[in-house]
Amino acid sequence: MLGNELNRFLFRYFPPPAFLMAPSYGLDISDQSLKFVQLIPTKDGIKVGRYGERKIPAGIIESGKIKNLSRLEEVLLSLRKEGIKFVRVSLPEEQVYLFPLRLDKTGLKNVREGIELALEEHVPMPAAEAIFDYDFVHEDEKSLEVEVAATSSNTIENYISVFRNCFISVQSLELEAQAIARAVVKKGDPETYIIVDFGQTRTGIFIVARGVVVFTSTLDIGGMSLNTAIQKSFNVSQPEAEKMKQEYGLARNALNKEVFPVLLNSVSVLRDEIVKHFLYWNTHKDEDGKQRPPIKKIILCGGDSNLIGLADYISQSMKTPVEMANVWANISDIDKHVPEISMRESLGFATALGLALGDFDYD
Amino acid sequence: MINLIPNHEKKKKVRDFYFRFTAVLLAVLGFCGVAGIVSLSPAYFLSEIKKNIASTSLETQKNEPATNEDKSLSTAVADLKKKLTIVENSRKDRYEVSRKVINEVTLRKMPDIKITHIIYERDTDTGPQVNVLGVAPSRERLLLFRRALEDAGTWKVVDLPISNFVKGSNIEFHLTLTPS
Repeated sequence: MLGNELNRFLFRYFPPPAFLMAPSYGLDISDQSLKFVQLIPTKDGIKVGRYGERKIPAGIIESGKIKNLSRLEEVLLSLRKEGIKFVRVSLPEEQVYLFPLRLDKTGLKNVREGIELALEEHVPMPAAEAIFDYDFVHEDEKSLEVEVAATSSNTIENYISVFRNCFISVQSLELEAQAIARAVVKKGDPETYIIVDFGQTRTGIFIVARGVVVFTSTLDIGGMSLNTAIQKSFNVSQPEAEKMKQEYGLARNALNKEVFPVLLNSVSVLRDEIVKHFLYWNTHKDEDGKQRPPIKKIILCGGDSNLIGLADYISQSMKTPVEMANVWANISDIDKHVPEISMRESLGFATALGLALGDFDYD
Repeated sequence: MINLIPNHEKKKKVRDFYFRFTAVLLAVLGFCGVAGIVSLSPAYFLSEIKKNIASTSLETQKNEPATNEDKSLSTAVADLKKKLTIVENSRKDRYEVSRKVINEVTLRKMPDIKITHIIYERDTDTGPQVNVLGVAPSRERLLLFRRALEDAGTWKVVDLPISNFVKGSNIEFHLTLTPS
């Protein structure tokens, strides 16, 4: 405790040079866009530095897999020219296996070796071809519980090489859900939440307990699929469909009699998926036969979570509190300081902000 | 925090950190060195200029012809130096009649022997001599006194002429002592 205070004091009044710190940008790569955020430590707390978004043409990344290395390098080189040298990158859920693992302490010499031996029981790939890392969840006298994330070394090598070719140093490759949880769940919060990351092409559903992501799932429903539904129903262009979606959303009023049922079809699929995970978590016991901590609320984030009426719809149909994420929960106090990014826009930067927070007190 | 970067990349990052740390350290040390040189250089150049001025001034003074006053002063100093050398040389071989010499004689004498004179002589032929005159109660006491002086080792020669032993009592003696 005292050490932390001393560290904060020294860091505040005698900050190390930026060259030594290698301040990194949070870089959220999805199939259609690339978002980056820089967080800067100041005397008054953490402030947002540079941030932005670059569109990624279709076909370069598909479901998190890099399909065209050279074209992605072109996009990244434009960032490098703007002075982005160090990044923390997120990996999409589709490419990562996340599972809890209990290791007996008897005969356990090395945690990594213990995980490596059990890895092939949980992921469909040889241990030699996998790259994994873990977080401690719980420890008792006989065993320790860890949350393991594993992915194929090919995927990682693809990501690393594309950044290496662009002369950008990757400080960390993290699970997207982990980055979002770091941004939207207050540090030290022991409660359990469902986080719904409603993106353009897909939606991630994560369960976070004691600040650790314990479950992830991905749905092929996103803002784009809502646009497509509107386009088909009203025979309008994509920009017009986007405008109608933004204007009417799921608001139940006289003006919105036509769009509401169109959007409801897609959104109800999302609601059903959330309900499925919600019920499973609350009704099934864990591997030790213990009751899981109940889910307190559902947190919405992602660029398309601003859809009018979405939070109310999910909340009313599930009888559970639903709220829009506060991505500044661990960055600054929004009652005292107006964030540089608007609340509406910031929901789309949750991953990038969570990644950038990795530089601060979380390593 | 779960970080899926391969282990060799993590090790490379640690190496990179120490590389940057070394670079920062060298840069700071270099900056301190340059700052030190810059801040001290005015003082160095100033002192160098002052030294040159002093040397030039000294050279100029050396090359200037001496004035009459300086000449007479130099003559007076040389004369004084010469005199002082003579005085010092004369004192070098001089035998000092000090309390030590008197003590050597008086402490060796018996209580019944009376010393009336102690005379110091300096002859160029014989060298320094101390003549002791006094009265001894008997011949035996006088001989004893002579032996005591000889045993002291301070004197090279203790001369007691035979004429001193003419009288049997209340002998007026005359001793000649040559320092060793």
